[in-house]
Amino acid sequence: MTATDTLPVRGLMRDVTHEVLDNGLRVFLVESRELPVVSHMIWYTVGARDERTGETGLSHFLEHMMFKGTADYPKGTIDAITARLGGHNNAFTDSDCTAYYFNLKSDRWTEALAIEASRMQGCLLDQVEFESEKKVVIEELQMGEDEPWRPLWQGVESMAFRVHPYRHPIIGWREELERLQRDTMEGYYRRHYTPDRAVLVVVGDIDASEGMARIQEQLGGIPRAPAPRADVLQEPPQTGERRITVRFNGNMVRCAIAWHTCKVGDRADPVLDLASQLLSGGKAARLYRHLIQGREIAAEVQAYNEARLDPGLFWVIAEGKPQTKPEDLEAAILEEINRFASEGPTARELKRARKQILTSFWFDLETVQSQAMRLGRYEATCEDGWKVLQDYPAQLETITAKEIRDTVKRFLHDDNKTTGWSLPRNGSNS
Amino acid sequence: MKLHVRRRRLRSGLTLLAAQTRAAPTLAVACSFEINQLNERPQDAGIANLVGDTLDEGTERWSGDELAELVEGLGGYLRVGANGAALQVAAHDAKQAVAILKEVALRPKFPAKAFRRARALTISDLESELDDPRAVAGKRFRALVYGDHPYAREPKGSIETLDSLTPAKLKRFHEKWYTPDNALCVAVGAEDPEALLDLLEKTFKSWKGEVAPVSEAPELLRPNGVVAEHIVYDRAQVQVFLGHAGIRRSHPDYYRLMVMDHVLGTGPGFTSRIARSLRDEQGLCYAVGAGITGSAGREPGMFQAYIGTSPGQEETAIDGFLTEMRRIRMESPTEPELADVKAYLTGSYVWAMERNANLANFLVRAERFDLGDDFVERFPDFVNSVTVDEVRAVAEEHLDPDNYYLVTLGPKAA
Repeated sequence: MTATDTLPVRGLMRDVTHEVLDNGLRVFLVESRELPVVSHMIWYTVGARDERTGETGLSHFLEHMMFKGTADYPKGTIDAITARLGGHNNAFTDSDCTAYYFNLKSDRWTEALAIEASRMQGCLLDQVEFESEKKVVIEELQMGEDEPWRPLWQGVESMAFRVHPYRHPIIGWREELERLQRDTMEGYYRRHYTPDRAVLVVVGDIDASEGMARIQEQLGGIPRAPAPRADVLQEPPQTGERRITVRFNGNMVRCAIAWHTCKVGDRADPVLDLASQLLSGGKAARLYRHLIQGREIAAEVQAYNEARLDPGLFWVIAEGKPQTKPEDLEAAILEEINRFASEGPTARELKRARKQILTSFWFDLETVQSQAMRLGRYEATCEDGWKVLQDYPAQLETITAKEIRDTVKRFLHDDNKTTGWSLPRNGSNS
Repeated sequence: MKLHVRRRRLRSGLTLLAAQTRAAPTLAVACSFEINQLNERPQDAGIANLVGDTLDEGTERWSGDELAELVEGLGGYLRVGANGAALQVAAHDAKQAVAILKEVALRPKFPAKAFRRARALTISDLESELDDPRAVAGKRFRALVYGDHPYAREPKGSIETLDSLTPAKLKRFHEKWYTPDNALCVAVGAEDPEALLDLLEKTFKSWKGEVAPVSEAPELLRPNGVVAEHIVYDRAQVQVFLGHAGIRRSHPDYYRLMVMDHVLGTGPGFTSRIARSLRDEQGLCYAVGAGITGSAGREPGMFQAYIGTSPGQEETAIDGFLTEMRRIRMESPTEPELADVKAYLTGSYVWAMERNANLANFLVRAERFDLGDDFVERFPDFVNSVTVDEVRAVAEEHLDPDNYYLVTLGPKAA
């Protein structure tokens, strides 16, 4: 076991106690003791990115199956125990990782450890439950198809990524899901659910050294995996604009534009965080002020930076007002992006955006789970791990208006852009 | 667990509330009103919502742009709406935050241009919601349950009623209902609560005015038999809403029904009977739930069961709802089932205390419904005193599996 290093994180985050167990499990403990509560999150570094052709949706489906019984916790008991303990649990899957959380009172949080120890190796993947849960996942997929934005986002992702597995939906392609066999899931589970592919974050009313001892007891004996996470095909540079139209049974026109960008933790990542804040972080931000207020052409507009383990996307999404012509809205968005790329932010704008981001760290301190979420996400999705998060506030202070302008120019140009439109199929819902 | 709430009542009738938290150097402040369709004339439907949406579009002191820059310059979040204004900031910005709160809640100007823009955005929003099948079905269900009650009306109004509104009408509505005796000012965060009360008192003490009583709403009626409607929407899933009128928050059966809800259809994960049966065992859906207490307010709420499922499965789902409703009316839950629900309810309310803004909402709700400062301490007793027979008895009294509204929305006629 390595030595414990307890490092202060400049007041925006609480001290983090970090260890890597002999079996490779990365453990992060944060004492946050104002209320008698604990958030327990385990992150596996496996997500839609790791799925091979024919097995899309496996990571997410497996996440569902983790609630359907283990050797020690028969079907239904994980939820029943959590509820009986007055807590909450849930899980989510994204492109790069799968995370499971328990929010429990601090006098009983170690129950979560016992459950996760059992789930890491002992998920039953019962055949009958597999078939039953497959129906639930397909219902979830259909629910997504009926949501106004989801088919558009998926269309743009699948167009922006042609080679990298990010082109696949996290929930999977329907036909592949329908054909998926239990044994395929079993193999996937054995390959990826191992301590050296996991990050455990516990934040709350705990004593860090005592917590570390409990974790060692419960999870320290689980063996490493035979193989590390496999490389995936990287997306070649985009060499020209791509466009897609998705027809939707609805009334409104919706637009999603995505540009290829960078990895979590790259120098450009916090620069693009600032760019998204400057473009749409409130009513004083540029896209709101010019598209919703000034030109009154959009009902909604958002920019967001979605860096990932492999280079991700920077998005601008907008919904037109009832009379808005798609071409006018698209031209207005691009005019603002281009203006931003050539002018960069004013000193006043930059100061405001920086403060908004830094204050969000303070708001995160209000709940144990938001602290666990930020820490775990960095460790699970960034090559350099949580230390990037530690450096983030200081790094934010070094970013100049010029760097923002240069970064926006570098990424948010036409040849690197995929534009998607969701347009009414026949102008009505019925 | 104890919650220390400080309170002051000013001569104007305004109540101030404060509580201290220590988790983060942050603060949530709110000036909260209970204003909704009951305060509106039917021909002005949507005015309460539009007044709320335009509170931050310009005040006596600041323009809308200046306000946005001010709030965002603090790194804060300002939310405005029919319930008033709420702000989250760093604790050291308390003074500025309370000054902003006063401006937006008490001194909005409803500038003509911002008014027209906000109205157009509301109309756009109404159009956009038509693209969301769950929202469309849910609204129709609500309209059926509430019948002649003002809550049947769309809170955002309609294109026709919105067209008839003017900035002058908004101003009059604001003057009439945004009064100190109809408001609660609350501050929760990392500051001395007495100092927060002093700050609120100093800022709001000159506020005068009295609220007019709202007209009484008609009682909700349950249908005779089943009133079913199908809305044809070309979508992958069928949306199903089933239910009828519910109870007020002040109903003496409230806590018994809260326990019943968790046995029947509100429990976390797949612990409730309906989630276990329809999702976990039959695989009919991703989203499902049922309950009567979640919507209970000063006016009656609804008993509502919801599922989104594939076409062709809706009858099975509806049968599932009715079977579980009948079962809980006929048989008492088991003692272990009840014990689990009690353990969850009494153990989990600590999570409502965690975020400043959540705690502020909790304090407002506790004050509105006169729950008392020791509510948090007494809550476990309310829950623990419920018996299995009482759960069955309240289910029998308040759930009606023979007389209900049913709205389905999906690709073909049900």
